[in-house]
Amino acid sequence: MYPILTNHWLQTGESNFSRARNLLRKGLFIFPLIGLLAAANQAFSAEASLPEHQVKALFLLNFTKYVEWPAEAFTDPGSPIVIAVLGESKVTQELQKAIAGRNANGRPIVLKHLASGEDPGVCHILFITAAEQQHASAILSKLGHTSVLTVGESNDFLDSGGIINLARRDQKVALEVDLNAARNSGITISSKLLSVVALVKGKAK
Amino acid sequence: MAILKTISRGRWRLKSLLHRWGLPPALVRRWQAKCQRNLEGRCRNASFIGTLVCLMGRAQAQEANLPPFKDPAELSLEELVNVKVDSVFSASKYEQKVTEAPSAVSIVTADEIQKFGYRTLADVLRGVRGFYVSNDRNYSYLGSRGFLRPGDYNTRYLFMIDGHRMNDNIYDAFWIGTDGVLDVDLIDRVEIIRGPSSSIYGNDAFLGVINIITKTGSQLNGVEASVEAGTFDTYKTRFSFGKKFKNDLEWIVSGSFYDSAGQEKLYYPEFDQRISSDPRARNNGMARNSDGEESHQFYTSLTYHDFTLTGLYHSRTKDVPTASFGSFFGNGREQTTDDRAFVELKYEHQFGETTEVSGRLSYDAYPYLGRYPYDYGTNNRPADVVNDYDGAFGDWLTTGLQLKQRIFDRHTLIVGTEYRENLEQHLYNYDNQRTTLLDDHRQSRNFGAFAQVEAVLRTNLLVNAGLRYDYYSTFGSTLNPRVALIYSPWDKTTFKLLYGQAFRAPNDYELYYGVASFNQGANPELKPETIRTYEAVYEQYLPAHLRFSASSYYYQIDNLISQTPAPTTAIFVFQNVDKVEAEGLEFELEGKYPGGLLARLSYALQRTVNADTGDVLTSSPRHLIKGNLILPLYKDKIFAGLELQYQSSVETLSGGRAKDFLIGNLTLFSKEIVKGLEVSASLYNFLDTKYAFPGAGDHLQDTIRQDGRSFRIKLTYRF
Repeated sequence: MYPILTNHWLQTGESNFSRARNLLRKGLFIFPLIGLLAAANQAFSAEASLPEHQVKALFLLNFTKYVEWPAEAFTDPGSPIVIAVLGESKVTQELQKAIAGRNANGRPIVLKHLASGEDPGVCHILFITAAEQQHASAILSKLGHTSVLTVGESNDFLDSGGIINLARRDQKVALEVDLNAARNSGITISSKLLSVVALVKGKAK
Repeated sequence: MAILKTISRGRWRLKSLLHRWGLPPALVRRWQAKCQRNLEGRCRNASFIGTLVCLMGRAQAQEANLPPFKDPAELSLEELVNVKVDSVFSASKYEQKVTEAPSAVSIVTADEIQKFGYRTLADVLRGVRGFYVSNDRNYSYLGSRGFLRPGDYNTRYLFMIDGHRMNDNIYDAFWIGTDGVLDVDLIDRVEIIRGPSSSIYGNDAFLGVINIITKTGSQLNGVEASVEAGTFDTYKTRFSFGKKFKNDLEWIVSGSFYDSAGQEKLYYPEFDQRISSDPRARNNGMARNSDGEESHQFYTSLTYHDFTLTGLYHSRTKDVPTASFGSFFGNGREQTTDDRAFVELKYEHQFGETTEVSGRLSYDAYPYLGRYPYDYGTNNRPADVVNDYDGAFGDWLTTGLQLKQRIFDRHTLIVGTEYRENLEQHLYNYDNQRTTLLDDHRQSRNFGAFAQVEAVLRTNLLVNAGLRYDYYSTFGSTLNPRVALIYSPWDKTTFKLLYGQAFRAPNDYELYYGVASFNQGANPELKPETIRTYEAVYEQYLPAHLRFSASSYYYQIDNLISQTPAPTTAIFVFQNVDKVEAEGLEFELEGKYPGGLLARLSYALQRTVNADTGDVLTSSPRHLIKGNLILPLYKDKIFAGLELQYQSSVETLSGGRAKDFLIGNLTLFSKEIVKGLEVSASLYNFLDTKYAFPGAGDHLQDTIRQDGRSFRIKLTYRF
């Protein structure tokens, strides 16, 4: 149907031999890649990716280490740090697993699950799940300036008065912090924690 | 743009700077010197490979100090903020973990788009395991699983922007190359779902679904301006603004201009009158200044609480150097313009923890006009060139409702409906001297209803089953199921067994485009094409941040719509004739490391044949090998992105072969060296490989040669 003509550059008289050599030469570029993968296999080990709820649970666990509460937030030096989770979330189960047998700066960690609308009572970290975000403003204003580290997972959590938001960005969980809200609650966030924060309220890092 | 054009046409010709390397030699020398300095004198080898190997060695030495394998609970804060949480939306219309998706899935993020210097969606898809893209110097064509038909405008993939169906109502097409509709800079991620998904998405979800998720206003958080310049006098500018306001209003708006002079001259031996007997041959086979391109686009999205209003407009004009469709060669007047626009209002609301409702209402339009010069004279010169105009206009309304319900906190049910009213499907063809050759107005509608359930049978065993019913006013109804069994015997191991059916409805062009003088007839009796697929997927998380996945498949396509001569006449019509079988294996090994190091290697072995003759299809490579590497060179400020892609030879329409090739692309990307400034410099096809893709039936050329080495420099500034 069509005249069978090869392209102009196919007719430059390149022999099969030199073509093969050409390809081989180009193929050499692949070796660094394979070498790297092999070397990487030896050199590193750890987990590749984790479910979102697990990462969030691990952040909550880490907060117990990198946040300081005023002394009056605890009845005595050995009393536990209480993490309350408001609303249904897989984070609760993950957290339950993660805190097993752990303590933070000598204090045991206790997990409390709150149903929708339930009063948080005494707690040090309050995690408001996405499903409960609609009530966040009410809950947060009720807490007032008590020393509770409030943590959320919704875009507008900081705007409703929360202290730390676990935001989804580029398929990672990023931290957003409102320092004023933290200061008002009498909570000190360590510089180590602040060094990994993606957004301090009002301005990008 | 006018200024840029003046510069480019004036004294300061960029081309003169390109030299043989596609880059000014001084720049290359300076860059090499810089690389050398970075090596802290450890590697003195100045060769390119040497530099690369040294850089890699260095990165390893740095990263090797990482702690050995540990319990996730021991991850430090730095590690936690860098952990990828892989989830994918498109496979089941809701977010789920990649390992639980009822398909073999790949995700390409904005980060990779930057660091690999991707310019178009075609660039993105070329980097994905098992996908390949061909180009005829006008449009780009997507292939996977050994199936690509040159001249078929990507009709066997469903393309979506944030879940909005983008395939048009004339050709069922979507443009992915420089013709692409959405600026890649606005993409947050691209989800690539392999295999059929008609059980949930209906038409076009035949070989795969490609869902483009856009960036939000809060992600952009400010003003961004971007300019880029590259080989062939190519320029692009973009201006974007995004913000989330106090009152919960989130807004993103962006506009881009693209302009390219293209190759100054292209040689086609088929049109060289000295060696070709074709009556259209002339100009010694040289197409001059007929590869130019211009496009502009506008995108905006406004979100307020549960409502999102999105608008998009895109227009692209390309000079076609190939004299396709039998048009006149060498005067540079063949040209196509494709526009695309839509407005969509979306409502999404979550009721408590268990119920999600969403609804959509949208208006879409697709105008197309092509100008084809034809020689109406006899074969003797002088030529009597007349412009023929081939055009189409389609617009349509779509509405859909969807409910997602969690049951007993374990299972998930989705039900939904979709209705589309094609207000206008207009095909026309006329020339500027004689007659109207075609003027076909149609209206049609289709309706779909679907249900999908994900049932957790045991903690490590999921069943995902879906069924969709579709009714088309053109051909009737069709029912398409999909079943997936997802089994994770161990924490880091997942097996999937997938069965699916899908269809592609005959499009308006295939049904009604008939012009007797073009020897092309309409066939309103066409039935949909169907596909049945069987696939097994194995995914394994390995130590050392590595992930391995393998997939084997068998596809069977029936009633494939092909243009063939009608019985007893010389008229070509589309008919449900062909039967295709595809089988293959795909492997991928990927490592992602803290600090941004990424390495990925994939291999696809495929055999796709015409089931009646046993012949391998045209444009169906047997092997595809891809390597991708992102190397952090300096802190999290400078990165190198390297891509290598090998494609084995393929058969052309005439029975010849387009030879195998290896393409390499290299990008250096830096951010925050100057506050707010991102700079990227890319060399595409740095090996300067000479390669070509098979032409389609409308080309005289058996293969169409592609660009050699080219470069691009891009600056993006955030205010």
